Amino acid sequence: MNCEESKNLIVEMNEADEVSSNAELSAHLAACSTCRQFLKYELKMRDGFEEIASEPLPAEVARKILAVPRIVSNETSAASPEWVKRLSAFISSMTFKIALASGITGFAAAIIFLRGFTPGFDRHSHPAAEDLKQVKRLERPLFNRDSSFPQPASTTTVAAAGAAVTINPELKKKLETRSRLTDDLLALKAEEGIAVTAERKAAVSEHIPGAVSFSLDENADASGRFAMAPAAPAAETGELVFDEAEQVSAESDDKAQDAMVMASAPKLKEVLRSLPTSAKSSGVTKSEMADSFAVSEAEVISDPRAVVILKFLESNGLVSEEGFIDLDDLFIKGYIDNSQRREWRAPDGNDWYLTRTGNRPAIILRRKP
Amino acid sequence: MENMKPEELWQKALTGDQQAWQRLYELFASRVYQFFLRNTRNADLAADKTQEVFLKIFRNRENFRYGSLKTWIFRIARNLLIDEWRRAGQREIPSEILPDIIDSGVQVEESVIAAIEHQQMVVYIDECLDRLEEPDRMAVCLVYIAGLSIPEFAEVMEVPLGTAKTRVRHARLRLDQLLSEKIQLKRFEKSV
Repeated sequence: MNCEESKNLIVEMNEADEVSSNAELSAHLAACSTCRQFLKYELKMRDGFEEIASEPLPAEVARKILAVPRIVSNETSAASPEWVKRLSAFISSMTFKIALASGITGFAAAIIFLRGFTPGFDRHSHPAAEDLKQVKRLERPLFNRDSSFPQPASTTTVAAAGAAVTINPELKKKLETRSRLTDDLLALKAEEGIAVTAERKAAVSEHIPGAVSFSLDENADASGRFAMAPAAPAAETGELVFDEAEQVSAESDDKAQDAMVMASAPKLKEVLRSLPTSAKSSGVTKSEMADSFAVSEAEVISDPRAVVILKFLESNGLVSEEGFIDLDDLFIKGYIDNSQRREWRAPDGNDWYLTRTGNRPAIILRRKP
Repeated sequence: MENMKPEELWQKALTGDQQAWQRLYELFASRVYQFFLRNTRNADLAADKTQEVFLKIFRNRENFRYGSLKTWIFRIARNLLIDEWRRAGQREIPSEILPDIIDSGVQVEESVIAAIEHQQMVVYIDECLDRLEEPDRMAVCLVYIAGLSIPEFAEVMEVPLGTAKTRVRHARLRLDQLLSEKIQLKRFEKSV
């Protein structure tokens, strides 16, 4: 291959990576400095065009283009034949009617359900009518946890939303069994060292401020009475309900923010992933890293790509004398691909510089000479 | 979505998939806009024409069944640009016969190339595009901004592959000359 053919191939290549895949061209480039020079110029020029091509559109244009499918479908529907219009109008009117009928039915069902539903409908309390006969109207406000409040001796009462109903002995037995199981489970968790409060935190974090919550208060009565009572306030239970909720939600916010930052910086993620395991797991600080590379802390923080490049050079046995690193040269020699070349490009005015302190190599950003 | 071909995205977009449409927008909108902007130097006109391209492809969706979506989009863009030039009247419609340009073997020293900053190169290209003849500018924009390969360029321009190669080479020689002049001038300014 001569220089003319080489230049033509370079100009006509679709992707810069085609250079390394063409053995003949690679061989020619290795031997010809003029063509290498031309390739470097070509790469710079293509990078420049790529920058131009990726310049963002004005927001208004972007909005209009994204709305094109909607605009065209509106045009199409406006231009459809008369019978299609009538059919679509009929369907849309039917849809409204169906929606209205469903809404009314749903509303009615909800009212019936809310007004008619009692635990007495449970099949365990069958026949419900028999149980309801035994209901005793409360004469004092509900949710009173005073044990002196008179209760029927032979029945278990569940009080909720202004009504009280009895539970038959079979259901009571089942509830007691469930309660015992819950106690056993909690005891088991406590033994295993699981922080039960953590679950409580999670449950608390789902609280809706201002909402009244209920809990089964199984200790309300020594005689085994189960009462539906408002959850004990924080002061009573000694738990910091709302503070904890805020703390938990703040923690989750922080995590979400972290996740967003990580998601928005895939390059950074990649860099962190490729960091030496010791640096990640042993919690090496930035200043320690800076010390180990014998460069200023600011320089290490400023561009984490330096660590990646150094690691790459070391793994390929390219760490030699001090000096500027020519990424174009690494690309032409086939060590890196075009995307790496672009990703690792040093900020304008700077170049990557391989330096050594003692025997330890480091990569820093240095002003171009 | 990220790894899907434009043609696959197009099929999904036709079924009302807004994400697929958005991805197509990300792939082509900026390139189409820059193609018009560099050829007309009128941001409003470029914006209108870009929207028109996307409206046209969606309105004429039945016309695209196979082949390259990119080629189809840029053929529409190229036709719209020629229409615009015709409408403007004062501009000459690009001639099919290219003037000869002798390859002067433009060479810039390696140190000079290395010294060119990325942003500086963007500015040089922008300035040189203005000084190119319209057919050359269109060729350069279609290949380097739109990202068409030479066979795709041939398809868009509706010319044989050989002719397409000649046109791109002609445009490149002219661009290289202009860029070389810019770079040498900059070098001279620095030395002074």
